[in-house]
Amino acid sequence: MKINMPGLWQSDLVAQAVRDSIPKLDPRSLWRNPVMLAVEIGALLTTLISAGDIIQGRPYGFDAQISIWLWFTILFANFAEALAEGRGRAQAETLRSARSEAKAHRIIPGDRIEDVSALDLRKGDLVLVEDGGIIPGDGEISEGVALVDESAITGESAPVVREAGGNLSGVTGGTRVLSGKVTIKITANPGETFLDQMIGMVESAKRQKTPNEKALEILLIGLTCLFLVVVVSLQAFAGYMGLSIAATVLVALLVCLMPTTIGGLLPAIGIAGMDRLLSHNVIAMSGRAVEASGDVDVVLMDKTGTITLGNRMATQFLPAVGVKKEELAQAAMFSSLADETPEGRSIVDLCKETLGIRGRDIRAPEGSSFIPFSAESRMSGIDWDKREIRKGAHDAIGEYVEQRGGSMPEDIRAAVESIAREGGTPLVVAEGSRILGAIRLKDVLKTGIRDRLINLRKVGIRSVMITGDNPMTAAAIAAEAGIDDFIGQARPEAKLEAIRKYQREGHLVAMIGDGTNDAPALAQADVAVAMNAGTQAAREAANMVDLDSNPAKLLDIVEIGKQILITRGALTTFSVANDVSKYFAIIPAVFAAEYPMLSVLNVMHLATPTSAMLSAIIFNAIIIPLLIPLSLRGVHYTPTTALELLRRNLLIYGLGGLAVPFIGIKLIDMLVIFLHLE
Amino acid sequence: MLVGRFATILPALALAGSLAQKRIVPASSASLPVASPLFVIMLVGTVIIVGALTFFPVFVLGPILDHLLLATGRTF
Repeated sequence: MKINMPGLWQSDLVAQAVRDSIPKLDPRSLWRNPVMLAVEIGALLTTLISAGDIIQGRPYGFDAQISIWLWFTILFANFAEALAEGRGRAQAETLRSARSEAKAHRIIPGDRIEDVSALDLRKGDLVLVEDGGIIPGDGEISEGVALVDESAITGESAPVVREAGGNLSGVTGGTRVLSGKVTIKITANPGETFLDQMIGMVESAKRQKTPNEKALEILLIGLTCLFLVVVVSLQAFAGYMGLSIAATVLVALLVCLMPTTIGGLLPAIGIAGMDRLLSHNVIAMSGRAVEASGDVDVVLMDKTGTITLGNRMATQFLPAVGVKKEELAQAAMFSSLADETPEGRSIVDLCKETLGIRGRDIRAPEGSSFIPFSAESRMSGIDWDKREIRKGAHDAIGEYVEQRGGSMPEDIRAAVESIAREGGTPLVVAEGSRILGAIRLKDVLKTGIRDRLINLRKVGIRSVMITGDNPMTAAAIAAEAGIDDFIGQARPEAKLEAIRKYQREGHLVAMIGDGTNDAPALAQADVAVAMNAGTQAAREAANMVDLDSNPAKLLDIVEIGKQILITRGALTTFSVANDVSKYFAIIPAVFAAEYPMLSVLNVMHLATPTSAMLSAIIFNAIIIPLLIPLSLRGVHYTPTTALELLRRNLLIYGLGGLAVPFIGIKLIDMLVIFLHLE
Repeated sequence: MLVGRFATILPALALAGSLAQKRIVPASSASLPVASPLFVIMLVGTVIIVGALTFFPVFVLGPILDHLLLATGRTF
């Protein structure tokens, strides 16, 4: 289930956002957004003035209209924030609904089992889940092996194996055990699971501002103060010339000049970034991490699963001198028939192809016994009728034949070396003391990984591959995939060392990991994504969790992070550039009565001074809802150089920000005149 | 004038402080080349627009109005 982003104007979400935007008028909640707080103070002031007008029987139309539009400016900003929050909550609810309130079998002291509601489970409880049972909460398997259907949260229909001990012990509440009996140690209290944390993250009030947001906010407050000084000094200058400017006009001028557009949309942009991550099935634990992902310039990737498919495929038989290819293929097939690993199956497929066999089920010969692969022997094979066929790593097979009086032929030694050099994994097949030949197993690159890595390089991100392979093999795969750098024969600590090294050089490092031995590296990385299937330690050390456990997701995360930063920049530029036209609308209007010659500055030919000021304020208000889609979806992002991006966005949001309000204010002015609002 | 000149320096210093605390990132192909014509145009444009926004209202009441009045024959 890929969670679809709810439609932008989905009616129930919009209705909810409208309701939510009113309580947000409370100055105590607006306190977090100083620009909007300033607008609210202005709105209060003009409202009081209009009330005074009404009570004393003065004409109140203009003051009242300005007040109304000022309130709308704040409401629109609140609405943007509420809509982004609502969308995040809706998506999280979709995920949460996967959780059922099924009964859990809790194990209590004395090995007895009691049935409790899943909601009563606490951290540290042990629960028993059997065939067909729903896993009641996030946890870690402490005993047993199970085949788990995680499609409810990941959308991946193929069930996955989760077992105690290894790196695949993490389970998520709401998923179903298809077969097996496991004891699960619950690792999160109800209300504290990853989803609950995520839902908390989109609630603006609980959200911590990210460093970038703080910096931008300082800038916006600075601009606000600056324009406050401008407006106050304008009043002083006017006073010197014997003019007086109405307070409402001053407030209107100030609000138009303040960067209300970006100030109003800033929280929505941040929340929308989290929403977008969630729609990629990634749960972010901190806004800081989401933002850091936009600045990441080194990405550490495991070879397996990210760059290559998990398993290697047999692609070629290299028979020894004096051995027919068919003989090698036959032997390889027999030794692999009972081998259910993907490698084993790919060997059988290649054998069938080589031997021209179409049969679906080739049986192992009567009376044969299969020797499974073990870490000690590092080979597998089959015994029957005194024949012993073995396949395995070349040194293991070398020892095996030497014990039986044979030796490794020179040509096979050379073949093995060349396979390794080209990035493959050599397997050697032997029967008794005789070496039959070698099989080339090749890592298969994930489709599209090359293009994605090229895109990463375009935006200046260095990709580093980490693999346990020997450096020769690693180099070959790195070259094939277009990786910038690699660390071969990596021990578990190698990741942590690599991250420290890059960070010392000033890089921001992102990595994805799953195992417990990844946890220190995850804790060290600036952006750390843990796979949901990973261990609890990994998930706790990370600042994001990928529900799909797809390592290639790191690339999406980086793109979303960049998009958030670019969107903020673009809207700030747009907001400041807008001010130019507002001056041309308001300043001539303010002094039109005393100095009609200033109308040369009225380049938009706005009808009357009142209509000019009203149009500017109305434009200022409605530009916020008009830009909501952009701030929720993010600025269009294509991977390219920083200069190219800047050129494009300056053209659109800088020049656009200069031009759009001239047209917009003029149109609104015509409408204001048409409706006789002035 | 004084406030317009100096008070606005405060938030700029605050921003500089927050920038100074950040790590120094080595230049890479992701860095924005600051020696490009585009960057110069952007920088100059920002300085002019923000400067103009600050002083435009007073400018209008002063020199611009003076010029327009001169054109109509009024002098002081």
